Amino acid sequence: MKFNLSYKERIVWEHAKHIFSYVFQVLLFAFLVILLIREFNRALVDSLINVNWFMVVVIIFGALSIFFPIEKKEENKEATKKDLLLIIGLGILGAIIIFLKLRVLGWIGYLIAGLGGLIIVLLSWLLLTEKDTHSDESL
Amino acid sequence: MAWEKDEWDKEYLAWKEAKGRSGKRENKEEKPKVPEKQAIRKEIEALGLQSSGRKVFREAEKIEDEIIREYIRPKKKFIVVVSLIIILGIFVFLAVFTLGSSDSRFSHVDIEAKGSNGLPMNVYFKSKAAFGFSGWESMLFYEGNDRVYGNDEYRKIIFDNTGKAYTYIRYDDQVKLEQLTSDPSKVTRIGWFTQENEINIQEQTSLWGKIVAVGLDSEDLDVTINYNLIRWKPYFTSQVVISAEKKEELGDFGYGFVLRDSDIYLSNGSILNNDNIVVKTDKKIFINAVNLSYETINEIKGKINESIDLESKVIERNGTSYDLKADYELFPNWNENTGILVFSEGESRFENSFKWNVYRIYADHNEDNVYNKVYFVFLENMKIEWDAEKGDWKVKSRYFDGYLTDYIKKIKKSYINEI
Repeated sequence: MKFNLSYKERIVWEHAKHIFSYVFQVLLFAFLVILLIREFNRALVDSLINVNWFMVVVIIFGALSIFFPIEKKEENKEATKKDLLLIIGLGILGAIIIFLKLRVLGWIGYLIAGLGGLIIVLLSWLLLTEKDTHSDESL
Repeated sequence: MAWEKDEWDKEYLAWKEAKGRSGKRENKEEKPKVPEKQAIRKEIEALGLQSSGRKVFREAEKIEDEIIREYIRPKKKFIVVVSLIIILGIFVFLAVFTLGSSDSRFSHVDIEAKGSNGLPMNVYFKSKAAFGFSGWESMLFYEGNDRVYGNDEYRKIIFDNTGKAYTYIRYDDQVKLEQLTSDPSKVTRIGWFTQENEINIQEQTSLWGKIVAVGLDSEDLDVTINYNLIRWKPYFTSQVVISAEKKEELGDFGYGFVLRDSDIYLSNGSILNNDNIVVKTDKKIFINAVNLSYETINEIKGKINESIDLESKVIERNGTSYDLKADYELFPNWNENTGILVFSEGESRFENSFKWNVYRIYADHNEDNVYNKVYFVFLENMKIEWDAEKGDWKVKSRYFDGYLTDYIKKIKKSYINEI
């Protein structure tokens, strides 16, 4: 979106865009964590916060951060051992959560949990190591 | 958008190289002077781009934007602090203004009052339905004892082939039929309140608690039942305020609640076993006709059958009823190891009907027609045993270990502090 702004207004606007993005990221993370906790203790979460309204707020900030994005330069970083460990950790965590929800199914629950964890690890690794093939030819 | 080469391309590339659009600065410590928009425009114009097409200007504007952006360094601390304030504000807003809406339940205890027929009020403990108050089962003494919320009964009229009128009324096991001798439009009212528009329910939720006020308003009586719930506490109180034309006629108020298949532990160590039995018998509903001939009954039977199924089987209910005074009553649910402790300020009168699984605790009132508070306490993970020496129930539960009498004192004290 394009506005005719003075230099000072431009500074404020650039900061506002950063704030939208930061607030959105934090709220989205909090929302996902809350949804996860709610799966295990619905009464606790529902007594503290109304997740429907929370979702509305997350969507509003999500829309703001999409319409007014921060333009960053893309940096191609190589995946490190730390990244790999984090991905494996998240994969195991994901598998545990899936297992806790599906353990009543028996052996198929174990299988789905294992495959789910594996998919999390593989997809995360692909996303991390994928190189951007679209070169900027506009200028 | 792809860049299309034209006659200005050479000049533009030269300009781009000169300005260094990558924006890398040799010395980051040195704060560069911010170029003014106009100055940049002048530079572009100087390169002779002013006469080119719109495309060139758009690209030039992009470059201009990027250059300016390079000079705007976002203050990270400022962004983080402002964002955190906004996030905190959002959470406070969500906690204060959006709780209590949708399907979320107030915790630990919640009450959902419905302004429908019978005035049902469901009580939830940790989002699970625990028991239900009922306007139909609650009693108020005012120039006589009657249900708080009842209904208007109009006589149902039926005619025989000769045009004679009869009235009938349905009971559990019979239909009572008699010749019409009085005004059929005369209403038999059961209960102090009978209309849904006499009910007014208001809820107020805050960070610390919730108040549910059930108002009942008629020409003679104004009744307000206030339920006070405190966040994170496993109990709530109920208090009634009544304004009546004849104050001196006001008597006790009995909170009626329905609880399935629960025994009752009394404060004197006795246990009342729930002997409720509901049996579907083979008996059919019969017509109890007063002073009517067999022919007349047969003639009318078909017409009654249109509204009442005379082939349906009679359901028999049995169970003992008790009317007693006690310091408290405890209703355990051993399937879930929970219990509901009920008491009021001072000794209370209880009416227990295992036949209907309906229980009442009566509250007395002061001169201002404010009734004594009644407390309902939920015991979770409950274990209980009678201590003969102390003469009290010893309870072990999630929120309290000790004697019930001590717990009652603690709750009363804690409630005053919370309020």
